[in-house]
Amino acid sequence: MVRSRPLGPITRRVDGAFNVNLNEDERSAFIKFFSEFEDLLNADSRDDNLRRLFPVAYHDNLENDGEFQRLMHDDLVASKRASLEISRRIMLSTADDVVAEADMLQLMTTLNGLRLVLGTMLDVGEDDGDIDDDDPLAGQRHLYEYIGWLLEWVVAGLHEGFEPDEKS
Amino acid sequence: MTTPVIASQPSFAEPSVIEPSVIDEEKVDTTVDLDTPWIVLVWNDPINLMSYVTFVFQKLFGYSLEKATELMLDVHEKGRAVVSTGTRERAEIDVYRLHEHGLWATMQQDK
Repeated sequence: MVRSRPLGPITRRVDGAFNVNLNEDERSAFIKFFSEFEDLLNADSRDDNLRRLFPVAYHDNLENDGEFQRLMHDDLVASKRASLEISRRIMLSTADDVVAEADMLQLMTTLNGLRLVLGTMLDVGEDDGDIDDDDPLAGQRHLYEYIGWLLEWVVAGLHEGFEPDEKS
Repeated sequence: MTTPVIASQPSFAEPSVIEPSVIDEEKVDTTVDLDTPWIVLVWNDPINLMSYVTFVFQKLFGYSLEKATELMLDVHEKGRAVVSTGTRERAEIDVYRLHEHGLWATMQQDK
């Protein structure tokens, strides 16, 4: 029997930290996805399927962009690996464990990165309709939606009680 | 052996959205005017969630929810929005932080 989820997958505690209310199967699935994501990064961070993770910085100047990428690309890869490691640790914990806000921010960027890669592979567009279950990629499209669902919960949890240092 | 879920898909055609791309260098005026500020642009992407983009603008730039939402809607509806302005060094830092968060950000002088 599957135990129903008493709360949303992400809940903000009164102390500002978080609980992640995912079951073991869901946690195992995310650990697997994170591992595959890391494998892609390690294999070739300039792979076309990862292009959304490493966009151009100077869209009107090749020379400046080359210099920017030369200086920043490796740092960006390292940053994504660090976020992946924290995200993996969150999924290895239990629902009773407390997740700090800083770690939840890392989970947010990892989920978004995973979604960017999967969305690139699936060629997701603005006007994509409902998933056709006869589509050979329907499983991946459902996974894309599922990651988006969890990301929405993470963002909503982080928004709760968020007070920007208002600029305008 | 289990087939990787996210790693086994073929590469598809380029998405049909407005995207930044590197243009022909010969057509570019590479003169750097030190007095002209630099702007950071975020471009529309069909993948990033609207709530996510709004939150990233708040977190990175300290914008109010109202301002961040306005910028996000500009990105979504107009294809791009200027999210910060300043020195070249400041703009490079902002672009890097936006790239860390998976947003499609570029920079240019505000001519």
